[in-house]
Amino acid sequence: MKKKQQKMKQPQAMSLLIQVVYWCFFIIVALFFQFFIPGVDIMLAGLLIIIPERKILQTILLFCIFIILQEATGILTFGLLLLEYSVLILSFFIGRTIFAVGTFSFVFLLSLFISFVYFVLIQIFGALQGIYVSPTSAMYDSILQALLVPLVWYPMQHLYGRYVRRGNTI
Amino acid sequence: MLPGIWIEDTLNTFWKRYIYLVHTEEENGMLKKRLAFLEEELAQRKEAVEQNKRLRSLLQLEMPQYTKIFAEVCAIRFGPLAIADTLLINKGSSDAIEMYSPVLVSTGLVGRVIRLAHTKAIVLPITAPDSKLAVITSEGRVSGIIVGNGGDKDLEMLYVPRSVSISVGEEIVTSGVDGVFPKGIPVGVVSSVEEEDLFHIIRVRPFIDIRSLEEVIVLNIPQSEISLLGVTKDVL
Repeated sequence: MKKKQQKMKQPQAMSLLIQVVYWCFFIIVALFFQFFIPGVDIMLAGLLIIIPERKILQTILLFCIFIILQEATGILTFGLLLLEYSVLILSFFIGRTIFAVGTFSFVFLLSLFISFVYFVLIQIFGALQGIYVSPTSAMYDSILQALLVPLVWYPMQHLYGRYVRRGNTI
Repeated sequence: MLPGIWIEDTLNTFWKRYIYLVHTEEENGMLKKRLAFLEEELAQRKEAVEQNKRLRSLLQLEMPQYTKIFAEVCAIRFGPLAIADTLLINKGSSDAIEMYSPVLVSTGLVGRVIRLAHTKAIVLPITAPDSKLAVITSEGRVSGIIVGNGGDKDLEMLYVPRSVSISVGEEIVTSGVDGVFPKGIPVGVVSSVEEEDLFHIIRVRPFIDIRSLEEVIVLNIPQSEISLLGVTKDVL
């Protein structure tokens, strides 16, 4: 009986390890992009990968990690990304009823919408804090983000499907 | 004799063209590897020399009354919430950096610390639209307030009345009355002067280029010295 339980636990541990490695790799990739392309949020692509998987605990964990990482690097007070990511999750579930989930076009539309939300929120937060946010610069960042997120999402989603999702079915 | 000479020539040619060259390819490969290694080392040495020059110039800053903390710039405008051209530096509160500590390089003022973590800090540069600092012209001793215009645009010097004369090319330094920056740090040079109703419109080209910063110095100013000036730092 114990041996059977151990046998069951081994693939689970392996799967967990693969997931940890994958998300560490994803964060490195996202930070790499953000280092070279200022003002964009690549972590959004990670949320777009994990939300359709319906893994609530993992989604919450990544949600928190991404927010902590991103909020620490900015000069705005805490809250903008919490709102933005919440809108992303909400819009995902609304969009799911209209579009086919997991397609490039759906992710692109979602990315476009969430980048617009980011543009609006950053203007509001800037105004509330008395910090001047250049609309031109914010718009440029939003457009760049809307284009970049699906481009990062596509290969990372492919990697997730190939190594992590398949790993879970072992 | 002729066959002997022919044999000798043939043997010589055979030796020089084949036997002698047997290890040439191997040697060539080794030499190429060595060359690549030396080229890499040379590039590293050149980088070290350049860094040495920059650090030496930072050391030449004459401010013996303040503790200088060397820091490296990790990233410029990192992440979606870095709305101004903020700099992320690799020193924080554990290195005795405090909020609003002035940040500078040998050529002039960079900005001030606006967010502080244990091992990292975020610096608001003088070019950011929310940056304001009290300045004075080096020759005419005309005081005013400099604000940033964002990006690569020139800074703007405000509240200089039309009655005072100010010329293009004049150097602008910090006046020290804001309670954040010590007096006399170079900020920039006047690039244009226009006249408006009451005040001049003065554009100032900063001495620093935010995009090319690699190492900076953070000044640790004693709190007692700041409070003596009687100005709260939150004003700026």
